[in-house]
Amino acid sequence: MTSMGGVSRRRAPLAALAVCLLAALGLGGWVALRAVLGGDQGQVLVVYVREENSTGLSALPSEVTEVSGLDLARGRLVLPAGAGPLPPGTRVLVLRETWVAGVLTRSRAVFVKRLPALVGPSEGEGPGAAAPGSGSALLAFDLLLDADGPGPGPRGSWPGGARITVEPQGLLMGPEGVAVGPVVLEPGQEWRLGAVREEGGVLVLSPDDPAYEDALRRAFYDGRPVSVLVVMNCGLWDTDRIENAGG
Amino acid sequence: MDGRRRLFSLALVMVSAFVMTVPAPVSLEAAERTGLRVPVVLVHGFTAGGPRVWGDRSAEGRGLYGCLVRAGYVPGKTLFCSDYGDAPAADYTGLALVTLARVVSRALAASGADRVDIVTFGSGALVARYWVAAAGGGAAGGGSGARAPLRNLVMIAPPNHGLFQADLLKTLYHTDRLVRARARWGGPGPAPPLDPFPEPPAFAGEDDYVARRARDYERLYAEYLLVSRLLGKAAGGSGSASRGPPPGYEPWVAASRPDLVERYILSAQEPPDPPGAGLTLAYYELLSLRVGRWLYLSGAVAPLKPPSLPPVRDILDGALRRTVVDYLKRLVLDWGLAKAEKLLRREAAGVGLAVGELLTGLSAGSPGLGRYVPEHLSFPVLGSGRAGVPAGSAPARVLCNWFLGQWSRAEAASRPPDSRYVTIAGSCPNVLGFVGLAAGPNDLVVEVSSALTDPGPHDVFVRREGLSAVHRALPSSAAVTGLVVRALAGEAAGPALRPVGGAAEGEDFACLWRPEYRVLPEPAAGGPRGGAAVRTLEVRTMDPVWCGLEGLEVRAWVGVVEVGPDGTPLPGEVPAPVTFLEFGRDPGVASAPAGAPVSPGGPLTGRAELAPPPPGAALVLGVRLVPDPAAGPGYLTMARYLGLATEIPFSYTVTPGGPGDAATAVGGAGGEDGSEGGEDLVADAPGGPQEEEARAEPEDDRSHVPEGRPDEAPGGEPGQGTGSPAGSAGPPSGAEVEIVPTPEPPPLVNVIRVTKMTTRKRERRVYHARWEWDFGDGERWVDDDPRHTKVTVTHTYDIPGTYTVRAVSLANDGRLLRELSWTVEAGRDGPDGTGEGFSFTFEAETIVEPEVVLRLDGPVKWITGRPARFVLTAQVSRPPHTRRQVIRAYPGWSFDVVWEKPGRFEVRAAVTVRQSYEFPERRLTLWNTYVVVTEVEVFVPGLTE
Repeated sequence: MTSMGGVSRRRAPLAALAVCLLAALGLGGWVALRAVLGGDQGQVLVVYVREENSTGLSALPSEVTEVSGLDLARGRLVLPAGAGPLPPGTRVLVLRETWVAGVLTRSRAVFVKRLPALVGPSEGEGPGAAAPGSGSALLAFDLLLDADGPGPGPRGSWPGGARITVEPQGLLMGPEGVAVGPVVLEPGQEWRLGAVREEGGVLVLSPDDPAYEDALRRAFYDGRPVSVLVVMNCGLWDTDRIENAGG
Repeated sequence: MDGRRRLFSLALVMVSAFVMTVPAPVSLEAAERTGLRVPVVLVHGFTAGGPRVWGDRSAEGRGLYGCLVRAGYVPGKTLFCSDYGDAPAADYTGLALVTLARVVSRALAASGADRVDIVTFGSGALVARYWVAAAGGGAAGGGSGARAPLRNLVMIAPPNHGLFQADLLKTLYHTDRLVRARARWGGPGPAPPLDPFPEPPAFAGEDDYVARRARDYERLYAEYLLVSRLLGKAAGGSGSASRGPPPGYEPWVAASRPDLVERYILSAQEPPDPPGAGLTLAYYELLSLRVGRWLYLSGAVAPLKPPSLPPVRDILDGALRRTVVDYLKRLVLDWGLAKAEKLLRREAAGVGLAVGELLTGLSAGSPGLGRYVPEHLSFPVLGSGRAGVPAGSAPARVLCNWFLGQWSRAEAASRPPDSRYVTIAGSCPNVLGFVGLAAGPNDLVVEVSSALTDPGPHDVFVRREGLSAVHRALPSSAAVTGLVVRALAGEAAGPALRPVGGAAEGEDFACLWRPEYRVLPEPAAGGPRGGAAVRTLEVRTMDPVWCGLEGLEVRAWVGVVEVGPDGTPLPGEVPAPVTFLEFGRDPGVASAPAGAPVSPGGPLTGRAELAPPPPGAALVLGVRLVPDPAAGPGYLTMARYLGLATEIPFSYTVTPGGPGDAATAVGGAGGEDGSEGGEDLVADAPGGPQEEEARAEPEDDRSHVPEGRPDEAPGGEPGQGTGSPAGSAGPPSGAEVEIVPTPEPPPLVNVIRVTKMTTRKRERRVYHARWEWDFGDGERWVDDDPRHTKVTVTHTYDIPGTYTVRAVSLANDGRLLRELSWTVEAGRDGPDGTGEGFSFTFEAETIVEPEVVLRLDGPVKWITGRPARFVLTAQVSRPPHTRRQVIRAYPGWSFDVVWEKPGRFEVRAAVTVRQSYEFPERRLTLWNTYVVVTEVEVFVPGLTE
């Protein structure tokens, strides 16, 4: 018994040492893998998408949040609650917000690792959101995002310039039914589209159209749904400027 | 192993639970030292009766009452309760003048004391403080009658400056009332805007005013939705498009209707005549603005509702409660299962009840609710820098509850100078933040900032944090009851008085939240007592601005405290101030050279003549920080420093002779005698790089520059250029530079691998990259030369008309730096600007990145095992429009490196410059990091090249 106990006592430290060595190797390998794959990317391209709808609150909002997660003046971006942290390998961060009657009803962060990517709209989510089928979210379309040029490089870099293309899927504009996009956005550039509900259907307009403002204004004061879609290329952001909700 | 670990964890949990739930025992020694000659009166808040707050009224009670009995207080002789049952207290003034005054009279008579200690919970603090303001209620007051007979006032979670929910309750009440009164739902769209915005109605009561005024703001909200959010026009009526998220409703009102804000809010911070509930006209205007928004939103919902519309109150109440529970459930997902589940189980009912109490215990429509409206509410303004309103888009504090401020001033006059207020506030996760309230840290009922009071010399402020620091749990928490008992005994929560026989010199740190005391030495043995044994006390400290503590000032005083036969100060006693020291600039220190980038301020010195203390007493020096009255309401200044270090070093000496006699050597502020310490810094004088050295003042290694200071642009929205097509203003005067010193000894970096970096900081710069011009006639121009930070552009129009010109400065990372706009009329007689008829010249200026030159000095050849010293110096220019610079070095201005292996290594150092700019329409802060690298060849000792 003594000799057996002696053997088992000798084996325990050796086993523990083996486990520690394996763990250290595994950890080291994981760190190396992350470094190779650009886990510590340093920068991401931020794209801000905002849907504004004039009508369609399904309930009096209890969340009267009216502050966007994006603060350009201070260079801060706060991810929606529960969205963070930023996953390793993220190349593009899309912050997509839906506003109804000036109330933020839904904020979603989409972490894109490869382009092209399809970013969907929010549908009937969040308190007070536009009720499904209410017909008030006129521009809730999928957006196809792609790089314009070489695209992202290693460790969050964009050697050819951080330009993107945006193309709403299935969206037709104007009486002739011309498809919208793709639109190229340089860092800092914004693209906007408007839509109003008329008797015959939905009329989609570009701000370049001379009738744009008048159409939106008439529809608004007639009580007809008005929607605006805004997409902005916010450029490259250091990841330490992107915060989780709650700090 | 697993079983043992589980057992250990279970034991740990059980021990923790036991410790947390059993009230802290008070030793017999503590009981003897509690100063039992002064009776204690307990005053609970509204909506909760005495037993629920203080626990069972017996020695076995688990609440504060039981603790005090076990500490030696005798019910009916030195322990009393001021009860007013469970009925909600609509008016604390009546309770103070009748109920509390009666109980205090009884307590003084029963105990034979000449003053009382009072412990309050919640709004009981307002009852007690109002009683103090009324000088003890007159009949119950002792002494001269002009001062309340008060020694200690311990306040647990006091809403001294109002309840943030009171504003929400009023908003909901009026929304509910007006929605029910609405003749019809749905129908055509919103009403068009009114131009000009109507004048407010004559004040004939709150209900009438809000009913009429809210409809005006309902239309304004509709205009905001259309113009700002849908059409995307920048605020200010220029017609140009904004970029990025549009502003919130209130910032938009501030930017597009500055006259409205100025006339009806900022200039209306007084009550109507007669004052009524004591709320200001500005508050009624703000209330109408918010109710108007809710009215619009109610109307936006209605068309989707079935014809049988449920009562709006159910929607509001249900939404609020549902949101609270939803948030708690989200805590379960986000914070981890165990902790949040415990909160959900233990506090969900309490939280719901607290919310329910707020909605029913003090009903939304009750007139007493006005007493609890916050004293100040913030509103964004585009100020011009006039008194009280900061320039840029910083929020202004609008006086809403005039009544609170009125009697608080009376309280300051009738409060005894040797009384002490001890405030205990709780801060837990801000669940109610999701109900749309912009509340600061709070305990679900009372904001921490609302609990603050302008500190008297002896006042102490304690903050309890964590999941258990919920309002209802505070008075029964073991930690808080222990704090209260010790505060009444002058221990722990209060300042500790060092024993008599203190040194003739010393140094320490003072802060904002409590005073620091030093018992001063007795006159020299053999010296005449009460005779001409004059001594001088000299206190040296630093201008708080130099420590990054703007808005604060140092207060020091000499007080007298009773001592026992053994010379020890009596327990619970606070030194009554006799003399307050006046501080002036130390004449011995040369002022900064003209033009050198150092902020004003420097060492401060205060002197006082010390007369011998009376028999049975000792002299005490007290030092603390207090809010500077010139910086605005004291509690708001203090609120800026919640959670931040506020320590300032001071030293003192006591020397024989009067203040006019020859002074002996004194210690430096926080440093060794004769030593300067500090860090060399090299900074450019404005106008170009120069080799000018300025030596920083000695900085103690505990001085602290708070990060994220609230003096930076809180407006958050791209501003609008308001100038004519002329140049912008020059750099503001008084720009500040702070150089964050490296603590002594310098950091030591141990390098055992080639890749070990002395700093991981990377070069990162934000600078102007390009201008984008839109001349309003379809012509656009992009200037992408980063050197063009100040440009003059001329544009000629072909067609007469009114044009809005817009210029946007963008940074290299795409962020917006400045957005300027002009409105010009082409082709008219006497055109605006400098142009003639059709040609206009525009000047635009943006940020200039500071020029930074770094030098890293140190050995180029070294040996292993011995620290090598490197010194970093930086030349940082001060660009135009600089408001503030904070410069920090990594790993330090000087640092040591030790190599344990030979080889060729890189030594890196970095400097971050936090650069704040101030322009007419906005403030902007950018962080840049600059890196310098040098190489060192390291050898093993004994081996030469």
